[in-house]
Amino acid sequence: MLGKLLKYEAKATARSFLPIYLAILLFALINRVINPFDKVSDGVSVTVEGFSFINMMRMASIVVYFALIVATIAMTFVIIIQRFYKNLLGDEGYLMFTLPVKPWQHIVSKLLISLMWIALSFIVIVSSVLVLINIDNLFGEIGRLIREARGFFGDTLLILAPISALIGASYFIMTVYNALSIGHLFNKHRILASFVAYLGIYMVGQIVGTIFLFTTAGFILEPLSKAATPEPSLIITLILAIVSLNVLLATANFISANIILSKRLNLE
Amino acid sequence: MSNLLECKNLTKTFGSTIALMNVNLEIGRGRIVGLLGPNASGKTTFIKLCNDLLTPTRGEILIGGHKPGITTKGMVSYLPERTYLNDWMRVSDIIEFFKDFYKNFNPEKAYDMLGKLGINPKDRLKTMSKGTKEKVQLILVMSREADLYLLDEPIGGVDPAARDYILETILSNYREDATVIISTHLISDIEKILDDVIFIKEGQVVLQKTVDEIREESGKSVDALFREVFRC
Repeated sequence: MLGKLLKYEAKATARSFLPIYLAILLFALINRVINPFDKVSDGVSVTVEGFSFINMMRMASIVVYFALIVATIAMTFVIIIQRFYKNLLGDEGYLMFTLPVKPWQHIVSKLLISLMWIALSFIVIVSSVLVLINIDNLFGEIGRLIREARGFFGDTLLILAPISALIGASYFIMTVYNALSIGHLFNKHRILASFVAYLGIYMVGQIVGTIFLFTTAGFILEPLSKAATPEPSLIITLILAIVSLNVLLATANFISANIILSKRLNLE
Repeated sequence: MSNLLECKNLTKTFGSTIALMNVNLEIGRGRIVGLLGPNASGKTTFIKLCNDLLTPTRGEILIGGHKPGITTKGMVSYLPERTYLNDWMRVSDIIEFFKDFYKNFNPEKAYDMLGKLGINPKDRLKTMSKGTKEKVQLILVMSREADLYLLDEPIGGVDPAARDYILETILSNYREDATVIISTHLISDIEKILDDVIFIKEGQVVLQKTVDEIREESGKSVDALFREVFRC
């Protein structure tokens, strides 16, 4: 059943993401072909002689490209919130919560698909930049970058980086889900209540995090501050500590949201 | 286990408001039951409790011997009093969705009813009127071969001509050992198809009888009796 939920969640969100991904890559390509950055940096376009239709088009295509990137990031946030709020806690919740599916499966399916879009948005934006800037021997250069990073940080850190980013994103998403679940318990001003709940959970998270870092300071923060150039192993320990803290806080939010959706459901 | 649905001392409160108070009910298989009461009498709360959309404050509900949960959600086909369908989907997408999640959903039946009502399965819900959406929803709900149908105000939003079709749809689409519970305050429209009636008032069941019993004992129609019991 989780697989089916994932399938429909991906389908329901893809129609928002795929067109904008396509548009970003398309505008990156357009910008590369008409190469507006040369002209802008030459200052040609700002002089009277340079002010022509083609230069206006060049400016416009840069603006559109950056607007699309901002829009993608904003949309990723909005859809994370909206899919949970509308599909589960709004009218559509009457269908979703009468499917023969456990509430935790709804939460997990929405979390996993959100993570997928965050990762894809990141990949698309980075790829569009690579398309735009026209590097000679692109794949050779990427290979060289990875080799250098491996040499400097070691394999562990390189694998740990994306994992810790996804765990961090999961913590953020679960905080949003829990805040929306708490907010929906109120019969009025649900969005305001969700917002206040988010701030409350965020503060609790910060306090727990601070306590956590102080209690582990003896073997992480202190040696880190003493070392002139910290060893990779120390950085790894710090990242692992932050990852476990995020896992802990994300799990707490998950348990809270799951209890609310299972036992305290309050659809309008 | 002869009863399909059983409630024992079912109570639901919202803060200090009592929505249902010590409701005891036993409903068997193969019945069409009218759950009748004025607005805010607890009808929707009762139906939501049966669907696990609310958790009882006290007491319990058993459907086919199970507490509301995954098992009962597979057995119960529920029509809420609002439209719960995604606007951007086509009717055929939603039929796929129902087929994927409900083992007892019969797509041929759904396409057949859509055809009879002249609804194009390739249409998006966005382009439909509220009444058409309600018909689509009823078709989806009645195309499940469920044990229990819980229909909350199924005829509230549609015109009288469509009401007859909807009642006919309900009558001709439920299995013989299945039970249909219809909540409404439009009694005269559905009286002719009911086997049993439950009157609910201020969160309490005030009467549960068969329609025949009512006619024999009081010589009144259900509608007339309702007006008497709930006189303001």
